[in-house]
Amino acid sequence: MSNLLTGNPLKFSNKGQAGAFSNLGVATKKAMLSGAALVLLYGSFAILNPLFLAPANQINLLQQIVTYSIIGYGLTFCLICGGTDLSAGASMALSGIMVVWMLQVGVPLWIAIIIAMCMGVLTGIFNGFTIEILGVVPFIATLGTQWVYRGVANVLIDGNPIYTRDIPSKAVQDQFYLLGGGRTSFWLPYSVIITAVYGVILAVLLSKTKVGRQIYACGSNLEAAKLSGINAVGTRMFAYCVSGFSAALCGILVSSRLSSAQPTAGQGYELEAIAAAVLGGVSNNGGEGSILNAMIGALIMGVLRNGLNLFRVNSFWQQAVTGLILVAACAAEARRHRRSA
Amino acid sequence: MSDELFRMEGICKSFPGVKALDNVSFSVNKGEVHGLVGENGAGKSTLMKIMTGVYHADEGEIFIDGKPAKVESTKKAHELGISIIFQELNLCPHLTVADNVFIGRPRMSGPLINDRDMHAEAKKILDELGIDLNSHTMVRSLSVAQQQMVEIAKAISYDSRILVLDEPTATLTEKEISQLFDIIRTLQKKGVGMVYISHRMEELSQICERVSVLRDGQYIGTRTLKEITMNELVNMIVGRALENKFPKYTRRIGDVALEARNIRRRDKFNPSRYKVNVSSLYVRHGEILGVAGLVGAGRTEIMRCIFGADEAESIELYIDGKRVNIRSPGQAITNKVGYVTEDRKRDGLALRLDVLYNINMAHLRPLSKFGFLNDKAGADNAEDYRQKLRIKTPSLRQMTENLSGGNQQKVVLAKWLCNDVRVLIIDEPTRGIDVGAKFEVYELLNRLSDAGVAIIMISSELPEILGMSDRVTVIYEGMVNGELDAKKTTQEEILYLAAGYNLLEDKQALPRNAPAKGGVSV
Repeated sequence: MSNLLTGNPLKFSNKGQAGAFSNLGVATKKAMLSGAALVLLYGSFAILNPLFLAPANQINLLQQIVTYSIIGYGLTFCLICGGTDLSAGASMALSGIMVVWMLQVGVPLWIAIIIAMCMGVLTGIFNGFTIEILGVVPFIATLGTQWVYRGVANVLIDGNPIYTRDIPSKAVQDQFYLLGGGRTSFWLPYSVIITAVYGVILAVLLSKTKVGRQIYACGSNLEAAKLSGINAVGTRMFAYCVSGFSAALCGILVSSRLSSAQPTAGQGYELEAIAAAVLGGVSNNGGEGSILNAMIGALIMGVLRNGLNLFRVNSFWQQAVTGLILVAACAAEARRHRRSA
Repeated sequence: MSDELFRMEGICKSFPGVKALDNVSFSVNKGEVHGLVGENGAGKSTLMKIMTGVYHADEGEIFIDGKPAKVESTKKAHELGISIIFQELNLCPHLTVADNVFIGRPRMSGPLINDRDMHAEAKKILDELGIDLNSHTMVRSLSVAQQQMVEIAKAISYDSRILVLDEPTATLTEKEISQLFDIIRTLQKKGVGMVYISHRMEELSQICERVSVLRDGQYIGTRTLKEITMNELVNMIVGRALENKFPKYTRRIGDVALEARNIRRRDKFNPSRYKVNVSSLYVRHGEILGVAGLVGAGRTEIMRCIFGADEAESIELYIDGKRVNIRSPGQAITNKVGYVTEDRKRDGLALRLDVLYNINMAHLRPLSKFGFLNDKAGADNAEDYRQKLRIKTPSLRQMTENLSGGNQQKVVLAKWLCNDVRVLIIDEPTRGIDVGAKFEVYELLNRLSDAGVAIIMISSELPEILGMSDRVTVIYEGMVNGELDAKKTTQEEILYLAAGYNLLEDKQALPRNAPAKGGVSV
């Protein structure tokens, strides 16, 4: 299982692997490192503030992590194949609005969800088209497309928030709320279960399928990938679609939990998700990383946020701290990259 | 020719303005290692690119197993069993050995990748080739030599029967080379035909049966190595006599202008080797020092260390007998050392900016007051050099991109001259420049040396080295492998030294990659 999650296409036979550690992928080593950091952070908050371990807070913590994780998974695909997706937050807002808006006009729940998901994939295709076909660098392309998505979201609902209480059927209202806000009898939120299952599915996709391995190949050495007959354009398009799909899933869960949707939702989530992924050990230079890295990174960010909240740290300071963490994580990565180059 | 695997006949290929290959024929037999040699630009790479489907021949035919074949793409070449291993390796560093071997077509079971089968199969291929590598290892943690072996395993996994090795030993150590040769011999036994491109004569005689020579795009001939002496081979490679295309000149040589001692820098890709290992190198005022050597011998790297563009592990520099410290190009300029790079388009010119800007680029401080540029002084300075160097441009406002190669080179020279350089390092001064402009560049260099400038000229064109230099230093594997008097030496002598032989030791091969301390100098 751990192997599956790390996404490292290595599987050790038990014999003759004495120096196995030297053979471990860098991403796995980084996962261990950031895993240790996570335990340390978690432990110190637990000791410093008794409220931290309270069940209500733990549930709250997990629910907060949902957004970082799901957007982070999608971004992990983009980062590994050597790109990035700054439009994830906007794409998330767009899908969140789509689903609530469709429910308001009476579209059946599952169809509304499927259409909103398709919308996410569509944003991914558009990103991929801009990057792969028009040849715009990923950073600029998705910086631009995020305005497109947010603009369209604004147009759809005239710039004002919309609420699930305006959905005509009370039954649909309740059903929809269950997705993001509902809990099992163990108090475990459904959204957390969805996040975990989705993570496992993506981990298999990334580490065990052909397209997954092609994503690594493209990010590791694009030229070599092309010369080996890999369809690099298609592979990278796929990664952007995964990112768009993840953003849509996240948008639906968030609007369900908040019982509303607004065009400004998800602002900056893409940066927090990148920070989380890089912190967890996904390389922003492409070629290495795994869903496990993204998960650990999201947990670190979540625990940090939650802990700082408990200590009543001003949210503006939290924003500044998040930015610093992103820069520091990327700097550490760049330093390592320079050294190995 | 019973076992003929592959044959090319009458191959012609032209690029705009150049006939790269003219009626070249070439064949490889089953289980043969066929050497392909020639000077830089002789057409070896073009021929191999036609063979592997990167380029298409204008004329000529290709036969595989005696049957005519069309190699219209690299993919088709793969299908026909032709693979090439470039000097620049093409692997994904973040993936495992097995992943790289089977990249593009991993072993599947259903929708999922079957790692177990894939590693087992990779191991089988590695074992067959006698390569001692764990298929689970990440490629990034392998040495260059090991990565090359992965490339070979990858080629074999495509069932390649014809393998092209483009200077495979350029960055390998002695031990790694003998391992590579073992693998080549294993492949030979399996009936794989190989084309081995190399400049290193000693290697050719070790593993090749036949060798074919190209010169200036012409097919010169194929010889069995047992029946040919090194002398004959070198004659075939060099060919023509030195033509009279250099201005006649006698120089007045003064005192030592720049001396560099103990320059050492490690190989980026293989830190156990020195890329640069020079114990002493000097150039005198009014002298042109020609620096010869094979591509990749480390000539440019040495100069970059001297100029402060790359960090050296150790270096001692003396200018006019005084010890100086040059740690950055800025300090080099302050010490009146200039460097005209090999690739002027990449790192010599701001192509999108005008002639005026480019000429003044390294000379801004004297042209400005209190940090503000004096436009009048700048324009005067540029105009001055335009006339002095006879730069042909409609105006100083012309973008350098639109100038001819020769005039671009003059702009780069002007950039350094207005800094009043006393030592000028110039890397491949006439690359990509037509014959007429070449002569002008040569005259310019002569006028500079007349003015007492010490010039270090790196060149891969032996006639240029012989025609322009006073002394010739030959670099081999980052070391000085001999110094020759340009008036007395021959192209053959230079080529011997460049290939690692030592003239004084009666043409015996040097130990490769001699121990780190003390470079070999003559």
